[in-house]
Amino acid sequence: MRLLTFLLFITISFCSCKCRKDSKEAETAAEYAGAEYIAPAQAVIRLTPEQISRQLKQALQFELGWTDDDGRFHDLIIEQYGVPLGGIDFISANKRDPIPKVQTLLLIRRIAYDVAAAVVWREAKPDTNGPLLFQHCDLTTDHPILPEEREDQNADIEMLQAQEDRWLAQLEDFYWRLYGRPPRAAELDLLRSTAIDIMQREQWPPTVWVLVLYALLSSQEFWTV
Amino acid sequence: MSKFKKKPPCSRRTLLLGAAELLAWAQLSHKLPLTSLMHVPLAQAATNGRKFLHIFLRGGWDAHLACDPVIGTKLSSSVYNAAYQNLGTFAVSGKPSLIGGWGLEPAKQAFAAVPTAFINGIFTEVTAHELAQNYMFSGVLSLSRSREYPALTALMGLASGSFPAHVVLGGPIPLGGSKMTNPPLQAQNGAGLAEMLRGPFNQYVKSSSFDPVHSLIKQLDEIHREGQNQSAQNAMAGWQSASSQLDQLYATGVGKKLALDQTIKDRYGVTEDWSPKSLMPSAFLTLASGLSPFVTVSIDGFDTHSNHLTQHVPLLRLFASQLAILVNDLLNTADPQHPSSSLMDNTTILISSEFVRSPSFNAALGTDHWPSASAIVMGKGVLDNRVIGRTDNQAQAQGWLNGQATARTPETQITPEMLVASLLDTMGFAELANSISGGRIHELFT
Repeated sequence: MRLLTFLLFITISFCSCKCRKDSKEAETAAEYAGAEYIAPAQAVIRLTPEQISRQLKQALQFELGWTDDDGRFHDLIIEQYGVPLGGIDFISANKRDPIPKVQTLLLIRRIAYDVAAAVVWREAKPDTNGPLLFQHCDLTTDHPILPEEREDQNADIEMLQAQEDRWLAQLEDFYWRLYGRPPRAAELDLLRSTAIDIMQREQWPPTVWVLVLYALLSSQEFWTV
Repeated sequence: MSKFKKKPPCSRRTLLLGAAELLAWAQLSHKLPLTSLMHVPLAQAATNGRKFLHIFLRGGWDAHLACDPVIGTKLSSSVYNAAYQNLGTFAVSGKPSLIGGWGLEPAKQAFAAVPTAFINGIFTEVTAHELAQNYMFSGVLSLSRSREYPALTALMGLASGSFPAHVVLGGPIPLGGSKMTNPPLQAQNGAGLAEMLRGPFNQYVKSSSFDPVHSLIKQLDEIHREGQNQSAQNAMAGWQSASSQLDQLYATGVGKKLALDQTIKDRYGVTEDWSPKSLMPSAFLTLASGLSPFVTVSIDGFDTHSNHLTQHVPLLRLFASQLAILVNDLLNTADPQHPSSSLMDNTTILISSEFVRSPSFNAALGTDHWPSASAIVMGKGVLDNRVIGRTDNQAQAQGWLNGQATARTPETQITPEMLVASLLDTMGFAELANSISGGRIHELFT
């Protein structure tokens, strides 16, 4: 009888705890429901090199690495940058680096740029299947309207606006691919004005896309969860 | 009753708390600098242009093939495998004390060219790789796998207040609390370090075009941060501070100085940029570029439990030949900080491993772990032509007293603590040295 009572007590306690936990989660979710942006509930942690590699493959259909003569793929993010990224410690996993360091960001910038350049290059010279990612705009021509184009009396503003709209649609597509959300208005403004600045310097839309993608891939949001 | 009404000068609770705190500080004062490093005064000692290169041969090197050869009465000892008798030794020109094993023979010119001392019979009881490595790197023996103490280069980087604190090439080294406060730049090979520091720039995009992009990245991160809660912001505070240091590093252009060009690759025999052979030339480039005065190179592969001689000898000779080239390069390169002197004039080199290998072979013709260590120090501040410490005919570490081998006791034994403390001392970090050990290896440094 005592044993039965004890077991009953344990079971009730467990159910009670679980229910309380569930209701807490529901409360938190309800709290955030309808908010424009869902903030991480606790803190953020960096993704491991394996996760980043997988994420790049899913989002951009791209793998940073090379295939050897035996057909084995060597993932650069894991094999070459793994330890300095702090994600892998071959000696013991429990020593994983808890904080981002200068070298972490140096590597993030390198990887982000290499991936951005390689992806845009691949898309600019598509194979028979056409571009994989640039489905919303023409990579080689579309760009935000430049101030000098807007001031040009002979410019076809309607056509330029259509180009800009397509460019912004493509940008939004990248936001969904990389961050799983649409861009905020402030982000769109920043990206648009920076793209115009780069376009004025480089005069070639694919370079603008390389640098925009580089910025998106370098941001904290892509490397953390 | 009246005595209870009178307010005591100090309550019992306050007194107890104060005493406990005092006790805690008294007990922990010598450990805190090593673990949390809270009390090491930053920029404690100016480095005065001194540089330190620690070459760590990971896995446990065979000192019998290096600085503790099987000579003299050891030749007739049954403890040593007979194969050692057939391997040659070498003498260093003009330095009669220095007799080296066949594995280091390619480096004999380097030993002749710069002040060199061998240290043998360093007593280390720990023969598990990770624990022994931590011990040799830090000079602090900890049997806990969850607690590590910073390597001596990490301590030097921290105490000097330099940025980056230090550079690590090859496998990871123990960083302890410095991982959080003064982390190194670490790469698995030379190309990795150069690539990391080269930044995103290339010839197809104007470098000025990156300015608005880097500003954009910071602004996007700021917007992201505004949407985070406080704990998330705290967790990513390191990201923010690290981000602010990137521009400074890119501006130095140091990435280009670290690139392994064909000339240097040919000189060091590097065939692939990503290979471990790139570690030694990268160590030279790191010192020459001025990226950091404190460099650790960790070379793997010395844990030869099978076919020992056929694996270990070529590995050691390859290292020795690269060491000779490195020393030659350091001798022939002006120190950017002191153009009237060479880099070698201002550099101290330590070559060590976690322990040495057993003198006899196992069934797989390999060697196992042995509770003794050996090291070589070269360069600035080293008393030349010295062999400190001995192993006996049974390959056991002996004590060392007044320049003579003696029975090993806790008072006479040479330990990793003493080696690390002596090096910190000679590099100008006396306070740090004392926090590791009060003991020193005498007659080793000027």
